[in-house]
Amino acid sequence: MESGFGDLSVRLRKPGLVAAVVAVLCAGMFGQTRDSKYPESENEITLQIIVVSSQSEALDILDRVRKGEDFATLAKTRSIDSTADSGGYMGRVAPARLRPELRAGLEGLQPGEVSHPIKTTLGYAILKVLAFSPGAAAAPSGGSAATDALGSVKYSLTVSGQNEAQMPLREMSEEPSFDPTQKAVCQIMSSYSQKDSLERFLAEHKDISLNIMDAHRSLGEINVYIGNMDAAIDQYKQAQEIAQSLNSDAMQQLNEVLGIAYLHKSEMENDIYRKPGDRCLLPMLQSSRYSKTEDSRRAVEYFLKYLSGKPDDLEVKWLLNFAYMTLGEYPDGVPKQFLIAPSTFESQEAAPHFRDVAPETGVDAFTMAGGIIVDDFRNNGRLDIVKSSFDTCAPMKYFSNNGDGTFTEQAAQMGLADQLGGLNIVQTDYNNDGCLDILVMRGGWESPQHRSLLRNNCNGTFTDVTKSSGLNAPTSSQAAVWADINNDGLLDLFVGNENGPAQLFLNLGNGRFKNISHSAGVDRVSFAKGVAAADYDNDGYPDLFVSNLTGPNFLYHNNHNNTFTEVAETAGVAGPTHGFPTWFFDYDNDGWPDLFVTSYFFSVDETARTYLSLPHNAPTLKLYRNLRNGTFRDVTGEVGLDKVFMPMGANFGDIDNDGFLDIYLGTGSPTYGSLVPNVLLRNNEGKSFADVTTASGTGDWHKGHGVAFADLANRGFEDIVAVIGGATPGDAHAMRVFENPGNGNDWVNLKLVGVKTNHPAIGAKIKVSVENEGGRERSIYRTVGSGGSFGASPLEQHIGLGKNAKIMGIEIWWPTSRTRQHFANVGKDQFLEIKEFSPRYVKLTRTAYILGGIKNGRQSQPSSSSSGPAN
Amino acid sequence: MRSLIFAVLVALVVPSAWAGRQYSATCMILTVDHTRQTFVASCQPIPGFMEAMSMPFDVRDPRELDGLLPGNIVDFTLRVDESSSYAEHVKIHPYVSAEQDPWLARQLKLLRSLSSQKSSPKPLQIGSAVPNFTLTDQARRPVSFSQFAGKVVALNFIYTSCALPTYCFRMANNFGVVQRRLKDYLGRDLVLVTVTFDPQRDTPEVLAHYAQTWKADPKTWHFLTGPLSEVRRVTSMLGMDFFPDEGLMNHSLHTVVINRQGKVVANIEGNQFTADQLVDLIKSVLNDGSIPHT
Repeated sequence: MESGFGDLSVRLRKPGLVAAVVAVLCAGMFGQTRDSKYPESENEITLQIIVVSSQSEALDILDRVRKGEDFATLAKTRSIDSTADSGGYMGRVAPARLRPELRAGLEGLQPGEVSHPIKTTLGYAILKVLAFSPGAAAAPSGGSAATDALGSVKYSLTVSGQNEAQMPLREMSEEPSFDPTQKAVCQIMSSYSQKDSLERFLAEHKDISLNIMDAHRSLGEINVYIGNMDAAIDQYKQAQEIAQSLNSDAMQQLNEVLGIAYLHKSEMENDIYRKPGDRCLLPMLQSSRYSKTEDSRRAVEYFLKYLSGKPDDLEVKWLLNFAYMTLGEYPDGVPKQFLIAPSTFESQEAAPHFRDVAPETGVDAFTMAGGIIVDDFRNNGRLDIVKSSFDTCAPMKYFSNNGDGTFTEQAAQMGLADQLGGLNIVQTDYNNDGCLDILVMRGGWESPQHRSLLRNNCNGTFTDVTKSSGLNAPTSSQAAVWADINNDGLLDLFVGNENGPAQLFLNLGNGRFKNISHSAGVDRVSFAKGVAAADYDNDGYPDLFVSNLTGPNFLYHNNHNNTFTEVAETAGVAGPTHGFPTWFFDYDNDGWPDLFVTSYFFSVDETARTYLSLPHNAPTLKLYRNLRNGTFRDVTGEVGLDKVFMPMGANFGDIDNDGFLDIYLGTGSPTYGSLVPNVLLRNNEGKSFADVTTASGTGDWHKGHGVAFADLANRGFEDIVAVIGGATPGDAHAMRVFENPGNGNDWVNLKLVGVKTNHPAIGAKIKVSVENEGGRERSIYRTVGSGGSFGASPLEQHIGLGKNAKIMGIEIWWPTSRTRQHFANVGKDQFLEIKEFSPRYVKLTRTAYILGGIKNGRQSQPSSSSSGPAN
Repeated sequence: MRSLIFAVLVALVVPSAWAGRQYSATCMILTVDHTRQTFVASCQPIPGFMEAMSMPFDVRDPRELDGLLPGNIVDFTLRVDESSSYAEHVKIHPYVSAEQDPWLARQLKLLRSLSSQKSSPKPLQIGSAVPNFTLTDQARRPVSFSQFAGKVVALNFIYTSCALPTYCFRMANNFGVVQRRLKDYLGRDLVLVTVTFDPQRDTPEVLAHYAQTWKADPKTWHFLTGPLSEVRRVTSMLGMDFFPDEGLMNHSLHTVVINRQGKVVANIEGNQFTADQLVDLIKSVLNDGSIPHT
């Protein structure tokens, strides 16, 4: 193939470029997405494109190009691509970000060469590789939506009934007179009027038509939503019969639907959701196989039927393997061509093995998705657990810590039993009275609803004070963060919304808030799924970050005068453009907060690619390392986090007390087919993250929501409390309390109390200088907060110190008073309270106990240190 | 004219294979003439026989033309012999996709019709006048349908967060091709209108950014947003449905062509036509947009 560019520089560049392009294409690409802001010539090529509607036309164009006609002129006159006017010029593109068929068509091409016609989204594409010029403009990611790999993501099949169930409420919400109170919303969501309409329709119409097939499928979905699996399966089968008579492609899809429905039925029959035990945790051992197998067998049959027509469907292969796991026949029973090998799920390194003690502790909520807070609401030194529910009719749950390893549910006594619904909750102390209050967020993923501000009365009860607070207007939201944006000692509230602009509520100090989002410049509209606050540039004022499900993220830099400037693009944190949970944390202990943003796709296929190390079509989650100059660097690939999971609730903590923060992701999506394990990622000294899920025993396959890390039993080890349960009543599940087995490392727990700074000390910064064995000195940094954006850990900071630690000093920075406290030679393995301005810390008396309590017959845990002697 | 087209066809056919032949054609109807028993259609290429082009076809049986409207995608058998050619077994190719998204939209549309508390207005028939509506465009200017009187209007629906390139992006891209090919008509004779059905997130600024992909001229290609109630009024009048689904939308695909008298000439569902077929249809309406008699 004659190169159109004969100059020397291209000839010299060529071999390396081609080798690099081929290497990139063949390397299996661990989903590396090179941000075009940091181009590296080996990973980018410059392209031109022509797209036409038919193959014959494409062949004609190819013929003309080969005969010497100008590519750009042909593009201008013939191409239907959006680049036609520019002569088809795409600019610099990272091949990894192109659709797979375009990548494949580029393989082996040298600059100046032209591809064969490639069948793609808008028609047939002919690509021309140009000589690489670093100065060339970068195309946005993989070019336009027509060429970007993002458009190749295979979305999961919907089997949930959520759309059907939400329809009456959504319709009602468009009525201007409708007030979405908790009661009104519950009433509409629990009436299931659509079920009656469909049953009537089907009784009156028996013809063989698409409409009837659709009606059966819809009725199946509604039954799935409620959890009536037998009725659902019956409806799906009727739909499939019609599909067969009509010779419709729907036949195939219904095979997967039925497989998923049978699998769900199997789990219900075997009581997996109420009493999971080990049975839906990685690695699914033979010993945990289901005792009633008929439904799992039926599921296998349907998945195999599907795969006989579409053997490459990764989602169905994944579900097939899971179904075999439930039968205890994995891996040997799985047909070889569909096997996903056990090595796929193995952890690369050892990890502490956690055990779910929820049943023993009494934290046995069988619920749908929801939020969680673990904190000391009664100021008695005990961490209670609060859980809200996505079920609009379910009351909040308050698990009161009995101080002996058990919990008692007592929302009613606390005045919380008439708080219904709410996908997410977070704690605060908006009135600085020393008693933690609760904010309930509602309407997330749904139509707008009222949030609730629950004031802690400091006497074991709460009062709903929303109406008089100025926070009452209904929005769709599950993202809120408390931060003192003007350093006046009062916690302000930043809310990310899905149906309109974000809101910044300034705390006026009298129980009232004022929305200043417009004057503050933070009222951009987006589908916000997570918000976080941190003083990322260490200038004394907290900044705000918004993680958006569609479109770029927002980073609002605090200008110190109640206004903010949006700087995500220049700071380098605009991606991954499909965000969900997010937080700032200092993952490498260098004193500067780094930013973790997840990517969320309703795609089991993309998640399976992570496990199988296949190239991704979707952007991965992102870890941005703070460069200390107002910008961040994308270090995702370097630390091994270039993965796609389906993270919903998530949080961070220290599972082994080494001083480095680890990550736990609750994963899944509403469809019953998104069975993907939760993920535990262990931070190796701030250099990399390793997936240790299987080794840790925390890989629950079901839908993970609110996550909190908390030292529930005062042992100095952080347990993981995880809400497991889906978006529908038929997908409710027991909560998990994963007990940390303990380790030999040291720790310290600091409860900060503000005086001029807000009482719970949110935003205060901690630096622990520690010497570990061998005389190695290092610093460990924390900022007071509840952790991630979906799941709230206690505000008291549990800090792992590593092996044989000696605390050389603890330094606290108080942002409102701008004062610093130093404490030298502090004893380790104890609970301390540090008050602003105070020259001394106070040692707190906390008694360690066993989760589940002695009375439940649990043995003592080996090698756990309780409150040690102060030095 | 017909004989000229026929001569072209003859020229394309290999002379030695001069016997009665038949081909499968997939075309978009542009105009129908019942009295002359003929229709004009814009066809996809027939490999080995003809390139994509628009041309008239005779039918032997006038009933073949029953119910055919501009914009319909049809499959038929084209019979060619020594002296003539004609189309037979003309069937409208309904847009039925087993792809998850359009299936779900269809399912939900049925459910809504069965269970809705309020009655939704019936969509406009072919030949009906489009009532006035007012929305806001990407330059933040109010735009009323009535201001396009006397011009042909092509209208479609998108939302900018659409994840699937063969859906909303393809619809908008079709208009991008129309904008290029029918440049001379734009403004004076032709206006393009793209309405978002996600108005809460697709603000004028977001639409302006999206429109930049095709360098849309805001004076002749309006991207419209506005209050949800007004958007819903426009979508229902044109038979288009949308259902929010976890940050995305399930929706049907519609491309509408309205003539100079403000009447709906064509309402094409789906994405199984080429941009050039749409260009041919719009050109045909520009030249003579009268509604065919049935």
